[in-house]
Amino acid sequence: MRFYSSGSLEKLISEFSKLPGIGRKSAQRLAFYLLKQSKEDVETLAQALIDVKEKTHYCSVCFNLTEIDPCPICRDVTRDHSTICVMEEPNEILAIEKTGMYHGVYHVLGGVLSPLDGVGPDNLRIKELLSRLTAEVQEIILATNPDVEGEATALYLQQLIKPLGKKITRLARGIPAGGDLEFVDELTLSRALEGRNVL
Amino acid sequence: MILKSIYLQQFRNYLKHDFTFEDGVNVIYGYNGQGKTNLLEAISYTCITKSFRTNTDAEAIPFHTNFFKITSHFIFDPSIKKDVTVEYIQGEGKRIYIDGVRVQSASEVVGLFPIIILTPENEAITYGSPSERRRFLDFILSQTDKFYLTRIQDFRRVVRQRNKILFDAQNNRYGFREKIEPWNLELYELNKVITNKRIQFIRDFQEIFRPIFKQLTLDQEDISISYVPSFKQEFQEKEVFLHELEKILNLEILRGNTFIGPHRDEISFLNNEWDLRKYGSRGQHRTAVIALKIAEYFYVYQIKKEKPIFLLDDVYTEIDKIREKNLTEFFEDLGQIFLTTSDVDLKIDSGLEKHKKISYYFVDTTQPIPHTELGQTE
Repeated sequence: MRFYSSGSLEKLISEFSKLPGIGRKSAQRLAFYLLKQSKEDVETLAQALIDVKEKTHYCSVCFNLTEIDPCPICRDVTRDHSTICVMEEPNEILAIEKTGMYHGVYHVLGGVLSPLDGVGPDNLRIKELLSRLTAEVQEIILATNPDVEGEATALYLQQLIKPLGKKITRLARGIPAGGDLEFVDELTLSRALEGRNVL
Repeated sequence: MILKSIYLQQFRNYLKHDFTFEDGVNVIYGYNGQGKTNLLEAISYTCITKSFRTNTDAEAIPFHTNFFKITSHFIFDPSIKKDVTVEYIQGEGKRIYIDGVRVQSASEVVGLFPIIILTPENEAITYGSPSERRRFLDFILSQTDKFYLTRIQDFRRVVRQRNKILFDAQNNRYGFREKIEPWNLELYELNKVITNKRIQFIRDFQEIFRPIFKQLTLDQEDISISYVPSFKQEFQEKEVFLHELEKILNLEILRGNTFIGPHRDEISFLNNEWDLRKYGSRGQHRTAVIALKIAEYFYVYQIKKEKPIFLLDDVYTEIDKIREKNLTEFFEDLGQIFLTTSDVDLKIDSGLEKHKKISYYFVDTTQPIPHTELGQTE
């Protein structure tokens, strides 16, 4: 590996290459690009990096990322506070918000159950979720991913919340929009059958 | 489907090498250690994204370099071309491209370019431990059932997670019940799906396999495949399964291991009621393995409607010995075949030549590779 004679350039490249998905080559390209930019542009970027770290916090209610606490969604009185959608990570909230179909509030677990990674129920924000389940709350939507760990987490929460007598729902798992029945595997298909709707 | 050509770059003992193949039988011959099997291994990489010899991709990188790259050009009827590139870079892992577009996971590739591989090690299928037979079964199902592979991968993941909980419970059972319960439920679902798929597969495969074996032994012998799943029929009822888990719980904790699942299934070959594994002669094992591979070929063909390519690594001379048992007949029906032999004077049986085009490739890589020509990425 070659090293640049400028120590600061080398430092920048090595910082960039720590980022996910960025190898040394991409890091070099980014560094050289920034070198060519005006000082103002670089300062704007640097300030943005510092701001995001200093101003962004977790919402003390739902653990979404926010600059004000509680977050705008939790503050919004026009939203339906009787429905809580449980997510793995904050970035998934955006995906649901984009649909424009959901008007309830959220709760971010901050991960999924994974004994291999040492993540048990105590490492997720489950106690915080339970403490939110007041009489006002009527429905809990379990929106963890349909993979092995997401599924286990949903099953765990289900057995925990069930005694409270609240409505528990899981995001429908079924045939993707535009999908062809013939090419759907039987597990997906049997789940789609289980979750079929009355028309 | 046929493999028209392959380009190898820094793959085992090949520096940069192009091969163009023909439909029919491609005989790769040369002295020992020249890279005949390496060539078949490269073909296997582009069909199933991995080697049939090793699970360690880095082994295939020559000394003084840090990557290998293989590109195969396939032609499907009626002249649709598809390119597959597999590259492995030390420290960065494997990347796979189809027609220049990167694919995210191996399961997207497996099954697109069907392949049957017969090597001397395959005798372990009938001879070796149960895991060899399960691997054989998983290999066929992964190629023919798009979702089987992901289910098996999910199952292995669930077992690893579950085993960790069992293992941790050896010292501390705090919160154990609520921790293991979701994994028990997932174990049930996956067990049911995978076991049912396997039962169905054995049923269908047997229909193809038995007549082939009978024909190879001139109707003298008959072999049936018996499949004993550890997920028993009555476990299809969820309550029965969960109750069984309850019964074996302490033992599972003690061993830190999951006892019920496709990883514990037994598949055996019964030759007129007696177990081929224990009582079969060498000749019987060899015939059984060849019959299995031919049956695999026709099973995959039947499902994929695409003729797989057939790789025979250093087994032709062995197979040749039972030629009088109508083997050439089967060879005529196969599509493109690749076979390696160290017998430089090998002549393919003339009976076959009438039906199939036979091409010969002499492999000689004795020229030492100058280090200056070896490349590094970057």
